[in-house]
Amino acid sequence: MANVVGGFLMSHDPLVFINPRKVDSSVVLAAYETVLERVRQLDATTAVIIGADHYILFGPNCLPQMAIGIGDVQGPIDPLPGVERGDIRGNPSLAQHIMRVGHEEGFDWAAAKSMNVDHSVGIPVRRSLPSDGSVATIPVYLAAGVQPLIRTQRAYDLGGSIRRAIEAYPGDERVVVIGSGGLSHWVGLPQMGRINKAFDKLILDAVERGEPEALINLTDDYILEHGGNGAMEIRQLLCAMGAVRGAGKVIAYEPWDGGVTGLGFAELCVAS
Amino acid sequence: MSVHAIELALYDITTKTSVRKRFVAEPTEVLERYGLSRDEQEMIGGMNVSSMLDVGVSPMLTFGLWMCVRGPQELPEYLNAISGCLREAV
Repeated sequence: MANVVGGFLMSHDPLVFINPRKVDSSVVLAAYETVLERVRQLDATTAVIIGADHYILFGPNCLPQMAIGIGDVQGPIDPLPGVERGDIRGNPSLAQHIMRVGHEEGFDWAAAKSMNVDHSVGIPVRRSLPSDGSVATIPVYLAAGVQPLIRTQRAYDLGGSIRRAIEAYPGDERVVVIGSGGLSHWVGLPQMGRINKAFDKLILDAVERGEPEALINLTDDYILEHGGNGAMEIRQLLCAMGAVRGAGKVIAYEPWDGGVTGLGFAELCVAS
Repeated sequence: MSVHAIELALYDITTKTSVRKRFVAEPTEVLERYGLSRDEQEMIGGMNVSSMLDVGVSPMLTFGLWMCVRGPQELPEYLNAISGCLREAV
C-alpha cells in the first residue's frame, strides 16, 4: 500500500532567484536544501506539490478551482536565474488515481494531460527534490491568486481526499506532500514589499500546533488586510495539512528584505 | 469593453512570446484584437498599471505585464508607478 511519509510547507518567491536588490539569500536557499535532505531521508518516491497559479497557467477563459497534472510535466514555464527548466518526471498512474478518487468523492478536479508548471511548483521541484528525477512529481493547482478562489475549508478537505487516494493506491509509493505558498505578501499592489511578521507568526504557530481550523476560519477580508493578496496561498498550506494531518515544525522563517514576502518553511509530521 | 477583455489582452501579452514581441513593437495592432475602447487601449499601451488596478484588473497581470515588458529588475519602477493606487483586493 502506498503511504504519505512526510509533508512540507514552503514559500516560492521568485525574487529569491531574481534578487533585484542583491541581498544575501543564503538562509532561504539553505531552507530549500534542508527540505531536500529530509525528502531523501524519508526515501520518498513521489511528491504531490500543491501550487498556486499566478495568471500564468490559466487565463480568463478558464480558471479551475483545482487542477491536477495527470500526464506530461514540464517547467517552470517562467524562467528564473539558477532554476533549471525542462522535463519533470511525473507519476501519471498515481495522479490519475488521485483524480478518480477525488471525482468519486465529489471533488471536481480539472485535469491537465500536459502541464507546464509555473514557479510555485517549479521551485520546489528544482530546489527540494533530487535533481536525478528519482522522486516523481504530481503537480496540483488550487485557485489562490485569481478570483474566484477556492474556499479554505475545501482546500483542506481536498487534502484529505488526496491522502485517502494515496492510501488506497496499490503500490509501494512513498509520498511527500508539499504545500507551496507564501506567508504575508502583497503581489502587484501598492503595499508590495510590506511583510507582516505578526501575521506570519499567526500562520506558522497554527502550523506548529497542528490546528488547521485556525487558518480555515480566517476570513478573506482579514487575510487581505493583514497578509495581503499573496497570503491567500494559505490554501496551499491547508491542502498539504489536510493530507498529512500532523503538527508541524518550522524549518526556517525569513522576512527576507531582498524580496516581498515572509518566507516560511516547515515540516509536517504524518498523523494517522 | 470590460475588465475581462483587458485581462485577456494582458494574459496573452504576458504568457505568449509572439504576442508580447508584437505588443512591444506595435501595441495598437495587438490591442485592436481585443475589442477594447480607445481609453483601454491607451491605458495598456501606455503601461498605466495604476489605472488598470483602479478599474479592477488583477494585480497578478499588472505586475506580470511590467516584469515581462520592462524586465524583472524593474520592480522599484513598478512600485513607483502604482504608489498612488488605493486598490487592495485580489
